[in-house]
Formats: sequence, C-alpha cells, structure tokens
Amino acid sequence: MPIKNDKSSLLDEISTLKTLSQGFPKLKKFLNFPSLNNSANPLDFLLDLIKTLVGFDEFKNETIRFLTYQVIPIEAQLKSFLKSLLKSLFSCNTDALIPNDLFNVGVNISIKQIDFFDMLKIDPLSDTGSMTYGSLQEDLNHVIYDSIQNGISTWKDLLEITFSTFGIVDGEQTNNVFTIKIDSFYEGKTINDFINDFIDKIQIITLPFLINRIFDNMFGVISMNSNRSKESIQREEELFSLVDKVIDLPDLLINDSYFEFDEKDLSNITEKSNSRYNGIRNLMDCNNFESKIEIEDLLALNEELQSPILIEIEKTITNRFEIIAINSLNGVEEINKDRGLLNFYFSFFKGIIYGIFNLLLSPKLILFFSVYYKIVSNSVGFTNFKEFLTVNKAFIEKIVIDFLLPLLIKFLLKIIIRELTKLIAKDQIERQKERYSNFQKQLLSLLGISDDILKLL
Amino acid sequence: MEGSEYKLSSVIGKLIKFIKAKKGKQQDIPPFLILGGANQKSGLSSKDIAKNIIKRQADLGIPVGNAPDGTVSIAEQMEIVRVEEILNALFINAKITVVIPAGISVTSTGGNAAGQVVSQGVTTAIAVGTAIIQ
Repeated sequence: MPIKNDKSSLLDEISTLKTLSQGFPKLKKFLNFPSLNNSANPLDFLLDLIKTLVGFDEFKNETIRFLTYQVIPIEAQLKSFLKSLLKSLFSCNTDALIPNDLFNVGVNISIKQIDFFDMLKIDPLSDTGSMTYGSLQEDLNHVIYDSIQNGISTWKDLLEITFSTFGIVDGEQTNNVFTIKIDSFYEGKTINDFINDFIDKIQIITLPFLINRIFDNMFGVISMNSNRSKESIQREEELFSLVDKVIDLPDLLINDSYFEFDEKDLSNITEKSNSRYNGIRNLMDCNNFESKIEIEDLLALNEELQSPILIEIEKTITNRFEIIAINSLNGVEEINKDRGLLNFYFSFFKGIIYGIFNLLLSPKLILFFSVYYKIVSNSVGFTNFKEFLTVNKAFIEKIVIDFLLPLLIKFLLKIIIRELTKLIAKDQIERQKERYSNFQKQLLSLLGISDDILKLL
Repeated sequence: MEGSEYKLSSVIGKLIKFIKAKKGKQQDIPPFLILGGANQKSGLSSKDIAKNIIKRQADLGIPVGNAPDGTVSIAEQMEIVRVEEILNALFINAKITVVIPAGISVTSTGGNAAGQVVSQGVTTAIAVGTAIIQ
C-alpha cells in the first residue's frame, strides 16, 4: 500500500477522535498538510501531525526544552555511537597497536581535506569567530587555527599539530599542510585506546554552537558576516541535500544514485546557497518574503549562552528566540505573521539534524577521522569534500538513520503520543458514559418507562 | 537504536494501533428483564426519529423550520426521507438470528409404567431462533 494511504488512515483516525472529543461544531479539517504525499520522510509528516495536535506555543516551548535539556545527553550518546560506529565500519572491530610513525613522523593532511566549509578562514577573535570557536584550551578547531597562525600547537596531551605552507600529502606536493602527531604517551597503546580518549575529550555539540549553526543554515547570517565563499556554502547545501535524501528513503536499501544530484537537486542547492550567501531565507508560505535575522541578535544569544554564570538557559533561549523570530518577520504582512512564526520554529527543529552534521564535519572531527583512517587503512582515503562523501556514504547513512533520525522522531512521538493519550482518554470516558447511559435507558425501557422520561437521562 | 523502527510506515502503524486500542464492552442486560419488557415496547417510528434529529439540529446552531420566504426546508424533508428509508430497510429486510449455546440446564417430566419421571440434564446442541425488528 502506498505510504500516502497509511498517512491518510492515521489522519482519519485522529480527525475522528478530535471531532468526537471536541464536539461537532469544532470539527477541524486537515487543510494544511503538505506532507500528505508518498514521501517517506518521517520528520515532515510528524511535524505536520504535531501542527494539528498541539498549538504553536506548545511546540515552541517543547523545542526550547529539547535544546535546554537534551543537548548534553545527545552529546554523550553521540560519542558512544561514534566509538562503536568507527570500530565497526573501519576497523572490523579489531584492535592493534598504534604504528610508531604516528609518534615520530606523523600524518600529513592538507587543509582542503579537513576544512570543507572554510571554517578555518574565520578569526576566532572576530564576532563570527566567537560564534564558531570555543576556547584554545578546549576546542580543537581553535587549536588547528592556532597552528596555522603560530606553526605548531598541541591539544590536551593527545595531538601535536604543525602547519606548513608546503608539504607532501600522499606523495604529492601540496599547499597548506598539517602534520599530525600522536602524543608519545600512546606508544605501546592500541588504536581503540586512542579513539576512546580522543572522543571522550572532544566536545562535539555545544548548545550555543549548535544554535548558531542552525540559524546560519537557515538564514546565512554567520556565513554572510564572515565573507564565506558561495562555493563553500554550496558544499554545505550539498551535504544537507544528501542528508535529506537519506531521510526520504522509503526503505533502508541505499544505492549510489542517492549520492548523485539530478538537475532538480542542483537547482535547489544553488537556490538555497544563493539565499544564504545573501543572508536571506525565502518564506514560500508568506508570498516569498525574504526573511533575515540580525547578527547582533544572534551574537547576544551566543554571549549569554556562553556566560559562565548563566543559570536560566530555558528562559534565555525563549526570550532571545522570540526577539530573533519577530525580527526575522519584520515587514511580513500581518496576515502571514503566525504562519511565519510557525515556519521559523518548525524549520529550526528540522535544522537540528543539519546543525549536528555541521558540527560533526568540522575540521577537528575530520582531522581525527583522517588520522584514524591513516592508521587503519594506511591512507586518508579522500582528498576533498566530494571524495569524502563518496568514501563515507555508509558513515553518513548510519549517523542519519541510526542516530539522528531516531533521536528526533522519538522526541516528536513523545509529544504526539502525549496529545493522542489526552484525546483517547477523553474519547474512552465519553464512550463509557454513553454505554452506561444506553444500558440504563434500555433497562428502564424494558420496565415500561416512557420515551419522554428516558430522554431526560 | 535500530533505524528500521523509525521508518515512517512503522511509526504510522504503531500510532494507528495505539489509537485503536481496546474500546471496552457493553454490559449484558438480565434476560428476565428482556423477557418481561420487550413486549411492552412501542416499536420504531420514523416520524419520531426524524423529529428528534431536527430538534437537535437547533442545538448545533443550524436553523430549523421553514425558510424566511415560507418554503419548506428541503434539508428537513431529506432527514425524514433518510430515516424512513433506513427504518423501511430494517423493517422489511433485517433478519435477526438468535443463537442459544449448548449446555443449557433442562428439567423435564414424563412418565412410564412406574409413574411420573423427572429427568435433569443439559442441551447438547445449539439452538437457533429468528426475530424481526418492529
């Protein structure tokens, strides 16, 4: 049966429940349900479902609570997932000693092998830098940037990174090369010891950076203010397009065609890249209104979230999001404002997947993957972004299908089931009352009580 | 986490199952009450049913009665036709089959040369009866 029929059956059930529990005059029809089609994208459908079950304010609050309370657990789950994924995908769950070369000679990796989205062109001391890098002590991205400026830098007694304008990468003379050495502490230790320590010590997802990435993916506000090239934004959009394809899969069998773009994909990617490059977001629902957000608003949120004395995270995000959302709709027709706000929060929620991917594919993680691949396969295996995607298809699929999608679906289902439970409980109570009333009326009718009296019951 | 659990078709299936959870059962009416009371019932009337439906339309805010120009409401006429047709179908075509399970206790009396005999036992076959709607 086509998935559209399944979707329709579920909507009919919910529609009936709502009609019966709310009374006939309040019958609501599914007027705005764009995902009622044959797409297998669970996120779009569940988000549409939520629109019919909960109000906008409720969804907004849930999204903010998700950010406030779930990011730290997600980081821990992601680390554990990555450890087992890397071992199963690339080292067949076997372990070996780290080769001595990694301590003495190191691995040479070019900048274009690890910096797909031009992050290392952003100065950490700039405004956009503060929205991109953590401290030099904590954030390996900052350490990599520092090595470009100062020639050499170390990170947490794990890695030593040397930068040279020329070097040999896989036998070829290449510009802008990092030489990565593993700290001598790991001599005689296994690859898994190194992986576990590295992943434990690195911060992959932090709340302010995740939020910044999502807003940048939506509005291009950081990209535009850091003068990112259109090509680098386009690469990012290509990644998101691939992620969308994996989410859209009707089954779990993925062939190579999912990693190729047709004309429609390319036109979509170019359109989105152009919008982000110009710092705008086209709202189709609101007469193609060109929505923008101010870098100052995002900067203020970033500073507050990074403040060491911040306690009320939920309140801070709520207040700042409200300002950003309202400002993003400055100039939109009054009649479209509610729709614009709904679009803002729903797009933000969907953007969590892209935001986490951004953070996962930042230079520090790619550098780690490169070193890891060099150890287990004796080759980094890719020279640029496109090759990285080709070589790491299985990695991307696993992250989306087995980690990110379940994470968001579980969250959405929790809201849906909570709301459905309320409707079902109300329905059950009404049914029970009706059954009792019918039973009583039937009993009394058998005793000869007249219709007029029975109607009063 | 297993990704296949989160496929859309699987998620929709689980939600439908959740909504269609068991809905309970009506209580049985004591048989002696049916035996005593059923014969007292007045029977179904399409006029009464249609009248009640039209009266309840007012509860939902639907105008009831003739239109402002005095013409008879077609919707109300249609309601009468609808109920009449439903009841006609039930009166004319409905067939009710009553099935009485085996194992009903019976006590019978009879006699032979020695005198009166009382026997006790249970029915061994299911019994079938028919009924109509009035």
